[in-house]
Amino acid sequence: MNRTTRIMQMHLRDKWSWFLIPSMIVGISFSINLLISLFMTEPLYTGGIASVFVYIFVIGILVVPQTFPLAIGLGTTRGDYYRGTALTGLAFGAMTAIVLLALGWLERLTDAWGTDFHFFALPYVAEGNALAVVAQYFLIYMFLFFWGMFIASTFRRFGVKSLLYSLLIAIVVGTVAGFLALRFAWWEAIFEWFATHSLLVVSLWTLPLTLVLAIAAYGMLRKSVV
Amino acid sequence: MRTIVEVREVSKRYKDNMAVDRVSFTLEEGKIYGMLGRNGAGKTTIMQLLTAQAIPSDGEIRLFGEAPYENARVLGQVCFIKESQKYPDNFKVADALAVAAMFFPNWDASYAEALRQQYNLPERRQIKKLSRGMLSAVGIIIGLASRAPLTIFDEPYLGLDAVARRMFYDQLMADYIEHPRTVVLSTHLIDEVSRLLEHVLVIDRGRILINEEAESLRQQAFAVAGPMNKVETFAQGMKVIQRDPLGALLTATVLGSLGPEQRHRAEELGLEFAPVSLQELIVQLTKNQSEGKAAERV
Amino acid sequence: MSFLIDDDRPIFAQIAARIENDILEGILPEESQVPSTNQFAAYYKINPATAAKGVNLLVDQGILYKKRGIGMFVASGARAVLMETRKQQFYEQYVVTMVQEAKKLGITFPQLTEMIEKGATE
Repeated sequence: MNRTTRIMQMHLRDKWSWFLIPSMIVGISFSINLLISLFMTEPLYTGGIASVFVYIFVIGILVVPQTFPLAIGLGTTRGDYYRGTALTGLAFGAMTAIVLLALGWLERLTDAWGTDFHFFALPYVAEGNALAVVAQYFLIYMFLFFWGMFIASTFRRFGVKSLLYSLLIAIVVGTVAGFLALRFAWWEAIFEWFATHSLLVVSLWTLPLTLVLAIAAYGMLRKSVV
Repeated sequence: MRTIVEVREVSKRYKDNMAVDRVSFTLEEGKIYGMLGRNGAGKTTIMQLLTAQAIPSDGEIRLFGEAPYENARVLGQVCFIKESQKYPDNFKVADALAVAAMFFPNWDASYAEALRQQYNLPERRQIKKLSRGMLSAVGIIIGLASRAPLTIFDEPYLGLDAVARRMFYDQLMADYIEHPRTVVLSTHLIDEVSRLLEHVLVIDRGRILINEEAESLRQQAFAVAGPMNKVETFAQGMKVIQRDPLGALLTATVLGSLGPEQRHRAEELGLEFAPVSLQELIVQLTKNQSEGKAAERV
Repeated sequence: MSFLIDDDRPIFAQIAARIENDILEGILPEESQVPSTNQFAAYYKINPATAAKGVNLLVDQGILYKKRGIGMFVASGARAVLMETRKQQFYEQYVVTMVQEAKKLGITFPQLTEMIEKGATE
């Protein structure tokens, strides 16, 4: 058996983490909002779909501590583990993107579920052609997945202190940047940039970041011990 | 016999602590090795270095003639069962065995299933809900059913009672006879395994203290008991590693084999002999080392 | 010879002694097959290499011989050789010590033979 695909099969054994929990999160969020929309006269727009993306960030963080020790313990190379895990992320990213697109179509087809409830086909998010929608979902998914994996790999490689330091740096940088943005009135420009660019363009800008995070995660995992 | 593991001058430094200090040894194909020593002596670190789970600070390791780090061809022939192995939270016993089956080319699924039943492991139980002993049983099953050319067990029996441990030793022996392979057993329950071992490596404070065939090691010490002055007369010029006085009596543990001449002399002096078990010998030797006495290498 | 292995002597020596005894007692007749090292290992729960060492000790002495691909067999004449060795051992271990002890206790030679005769009839 191929060494990378067996890592993927190892991940797929955990159906809860990869499949059932995210489906449930979206399902519950959708159902509750649908129920609410039944009692509302005006249209309901919710961002419940974002939970999928928050969840994949969490999966990216959890997958390494959950499975790296077992894979290495069973004699896998770190490289094979990384490739198998990244491919699992890619596969689920593509699948999620396609499912979300399909549900968006269904939403349009059913005239917003008949109750003027907008969950999957949101303005700005689900505009543009099918390929663009799938690409943007996929790119955001991968960005969050590798961001999570990057954090977990940092922890694996350098321990808990490194995480605290990174967090501290992130807070300091964020605060300073926020202050500067306020001081020099960059916010307006930032908002305008988002407003004038489609989500596809915005998500394309995550691609270089995703690549950096993915490569850094690989570099750290290669030197990690169990 | 083919040498399958070569360790040359390997060290592992953790900050200011030398966990493994310039260790060299080889392992040959088809033998059962005992890696013995006290807790914290560096046994686990050595095994982690062998399997590329830890990276040496210095020195060279060859497994099946190749460097093991990130080497899938080599690592696929090794099964390292360690006491601290972690499994994903959602994994059931069946998941762990199914995953292990994918990773070991020689995996025997029906043997694994038979072992699972012998250890009364519920297939559908989550691993994180298993007792300590049952968790150890999962490791034992993977280690045995993997039939890996190099199988390493690091204290694999935590939480198992004497009956289950005996079961493990018997299964290991039976399967080893059917499918000879190199086995490394790391343990501090030396008496329990001493008969299974062909070769013994004793690790003490990051170094190799003894690297000997088990059978010759067994003949390298004896205890002699009797009136103190007579024992002292007899033991003159011998390497006494332990003296246990009781009133006017003395039991001395002596390094060296007991020849007919010495036996004869001791009989004349009215002294009695007792064998020294492998465990006893190793305890004495490692104790002497730790106390910083001039215990010589055997 | 006990059916169990003890820790008093090297295990391989005990395996060799066990086979010798079986030959002397006729349990293993000449030209019969000896259990394999693996059978010894499985029975006594010892390392097969250790069992092999015991068996090889007897091969070196010509007590056992190897048939290629079949196993180990008791050599013809093995029993007589063992008998002779054991008699020599008996003399050294028991007779010499006994005579020494008898001298110490002032037992005369006729007294000693009388004691042996008594012991033999009991």
